[in-house]
Amino acid sequence: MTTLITKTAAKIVAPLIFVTSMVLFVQGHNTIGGGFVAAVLIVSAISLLYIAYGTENLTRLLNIYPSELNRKMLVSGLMLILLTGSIPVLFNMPFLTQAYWVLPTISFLGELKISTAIFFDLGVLLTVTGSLLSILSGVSR
Amino acid sequence: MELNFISLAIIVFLPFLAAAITFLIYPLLKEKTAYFSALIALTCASLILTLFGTTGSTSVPLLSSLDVHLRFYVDGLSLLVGLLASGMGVLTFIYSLGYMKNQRHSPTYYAALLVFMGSMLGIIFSADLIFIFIFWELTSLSSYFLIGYFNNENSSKSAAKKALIITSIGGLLMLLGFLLIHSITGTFDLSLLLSEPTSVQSSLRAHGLFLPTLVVIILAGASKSAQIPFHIWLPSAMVAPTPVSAFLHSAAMVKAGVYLLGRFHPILSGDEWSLILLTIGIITMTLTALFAVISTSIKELLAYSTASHIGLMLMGFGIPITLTGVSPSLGFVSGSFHLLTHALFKAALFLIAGVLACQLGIKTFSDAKGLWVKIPLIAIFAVFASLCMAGIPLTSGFYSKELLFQGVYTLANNYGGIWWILPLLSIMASSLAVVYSLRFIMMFFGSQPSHKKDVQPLPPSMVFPISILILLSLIVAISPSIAIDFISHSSSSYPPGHLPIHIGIPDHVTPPLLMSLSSLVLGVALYTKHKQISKATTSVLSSKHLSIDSIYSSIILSLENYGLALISKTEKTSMRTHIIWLIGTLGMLPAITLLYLHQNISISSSLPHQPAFLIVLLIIILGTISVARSNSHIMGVLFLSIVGFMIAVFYLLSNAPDVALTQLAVETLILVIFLVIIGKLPAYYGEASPIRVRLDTILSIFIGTVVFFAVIISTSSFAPKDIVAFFSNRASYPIGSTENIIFDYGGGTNIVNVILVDFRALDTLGEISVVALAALSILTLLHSRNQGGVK
Repeated sequence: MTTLITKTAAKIVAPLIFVTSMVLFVQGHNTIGGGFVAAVLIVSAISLLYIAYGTENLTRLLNIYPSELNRKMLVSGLMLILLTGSIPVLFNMPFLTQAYWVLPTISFLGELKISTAIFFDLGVLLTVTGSLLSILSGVSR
Repeated sequence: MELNFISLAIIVFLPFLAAAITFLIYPLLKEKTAYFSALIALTCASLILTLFGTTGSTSVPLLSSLDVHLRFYVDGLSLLVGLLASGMGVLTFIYSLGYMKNQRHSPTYYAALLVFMGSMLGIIFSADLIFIFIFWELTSLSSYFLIGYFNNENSSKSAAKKALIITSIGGLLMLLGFLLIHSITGTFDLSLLLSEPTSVQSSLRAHGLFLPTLVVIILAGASKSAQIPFHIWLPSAMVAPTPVSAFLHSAAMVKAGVYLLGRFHPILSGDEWSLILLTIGIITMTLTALFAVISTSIKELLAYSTASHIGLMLMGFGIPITLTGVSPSLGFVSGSFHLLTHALFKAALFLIAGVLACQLGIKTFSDAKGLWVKIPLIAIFAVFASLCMAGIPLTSGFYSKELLFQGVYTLANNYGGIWWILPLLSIMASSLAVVYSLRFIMMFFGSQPSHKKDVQPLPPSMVFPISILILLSLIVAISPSIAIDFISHSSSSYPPGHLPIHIGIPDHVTPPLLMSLSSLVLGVALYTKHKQISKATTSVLSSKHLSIDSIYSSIILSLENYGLALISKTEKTSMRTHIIWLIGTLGMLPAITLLYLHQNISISSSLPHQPAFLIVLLIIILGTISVARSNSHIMGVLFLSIVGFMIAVFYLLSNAPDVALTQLAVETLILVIFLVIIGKLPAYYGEASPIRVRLDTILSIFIGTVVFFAVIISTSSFAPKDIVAFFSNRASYPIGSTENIIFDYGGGTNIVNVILVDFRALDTLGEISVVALAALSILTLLHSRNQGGVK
């Protein structure tokens, strides 16, 4: 399926999917989105590139795709969740307790809130991306 | 007293964290990683030292809704064993620097040792029975890697497997014991159990579960501590690198079993406890001492003598607390004290054996002849440590053995009759200890140095740990009361005001002293004849029926054969037949549950009525039928994705945009993945027989029905109003709050996401762990696909 049309289309669409997935990830706490959807979109974008360029070519061209990276992503996602989830235990709170900070109002940004759940969601993103990409690169080899 | 939770958490979990970091820093530090690991161990050891003299427990809720707490318990016994484990960790890591110079270096070695140390400290300081079990299994697992990973020979793999199988069986027995205790007392909290040991025991007895609990826990300890009949894994495990042997097989892992029994001593001690422990202890102590005498390699001797000395500790724990004339805690103190002295001299001996093996290539006794000229310092150390091992008067091993002799003598004196066999066999065993200690000493001496090559100067990183251990043994030998005071802290669960435990240089002749002296004389006499003894016993033991090792091998072999036979019966058929069993089972389980649930099914209330829904459902049904009727993969996949996309529309209509988005994304991904791999699939499956088609149809309808009812029931019956209200109130911000950091509220306006990452974060963690496990399993399957295996 590595025709010129697919290649050109993939070249344009894949970055758009990446950006969309990042938007979905960041806004996830307040409106639709979240780590899981973002991860699935990233994997879709990469598999689109797979189809357009072929596995070997993509690996050689972009040099981003050592299969070890996938497993590292998988493990680091789980580790991130375990570590950030353990921090509240040190302060006598249950595992995986989340909190959020309300930062003082900055004039042009408005009220800013930062939630610790973003680390959890990042862990979900990394784990799911790593798992799905491992499967993908495994079956397509 | 309230303990500092954070320092205990650091003691237990820092090694695990460091193990992960090892892989990151290994490329930078190379073999200096040993120093990093030693630093970690040193941190743990010093934190344990700061806890010195404290007793008590502390806990933090981990998952309070599931009643899972992270609990720690500290007393004299846990401090003693914990200090040994971490202190020996420091020395082992330093020693590894010199030892591993000639070996294959790898970060895995240090990581596995760190994980081992962390799990050991976890066993020691955890006050939750389930955590103890988890850490216990982690020690087995990390020791499996340490024994089998670094030497790519079949013998070390089977030795690692043997150790893993035997100690895991012990672990499972221990879990059984813990569950029995939980079923009666309703708690996994060890500190709670230890606060009322007698009432725990009496309620166990009242339910008739005391003996089963006692037996499984003793068996668990015996398997970990290499007691007969579980002792066979220890000599085999000697294929491990020597620092590993010194750490795992003298100071730490084998002591985990002793620690477990010491921990449960207040709860389980009684007549049955004494009888079983004394029996196991005396049999192991005597027989393995004999095995040590006839052993052929240096490390084998040390392994058997370790089992023998642990037998002595178990006997100590087995001495009843009701004896007249001695302190009730005598037995407990003698076991703990010997645990300390044994760890010190035995680790030193292992490290000396490591010097011989690694620097000089010596593994058998005859090779070492005349070596004292070349490495006089090591020879002196070896002589001293061996004298401790033999229990020669005024060494550290003497005092701890003396306490046990006092115990068994008083026991025999109290009960008389058959009990006199205990002191007699003890004398026998310790005279055999004198024999094998003399073998260890005498191997350094002899007229002709048999090896010509020059001995290179030993690296200080190898000599330093040995000299520290020798120094500590010396301190204990000079002033044993320091150690006794330390240990007596841990026996606080016994009635106070009893007779003090006297320890020191004997000033008059007592029965225990006579026992020591007679075993010394007997030992020296036996040593002159040890060649004949070896010959005689070897010929007796070489008979196959007596060897537990061959029983173990035949059990494992027959299990393997049975498994292979089972595979060849079931694996003959195709993948499709396989799937039938899998899916059928998957359908049967919820079907059975549903039948027993007797749930009133209210379908009408949970089905939507709008026309849009009906159109979507109609398309889904049509799509499903088309999937079943399609005659190529590509058609099937396309129809399937129509169904998937329609389900997304269904979610959208039900006001669930988040779920709809996820469904859309997943559906797209599945389609794309199919496109990636479609070239690798056959064009079509081939013709199926009509019977086959009918069978498949019935199975599909069955599964569909089960899933349908499962979904209907689970969605219609479980929606308490207060939960909905809770989530919708708490997901967002508190109105009018002035606090800066807020815990009780989610802080997001997307309820679905807040539930996923905050309120039900543990569920999400479980789900993504499943995703990760599935990915790893698929990778493993794909990897092994091209490797043959059973055809």
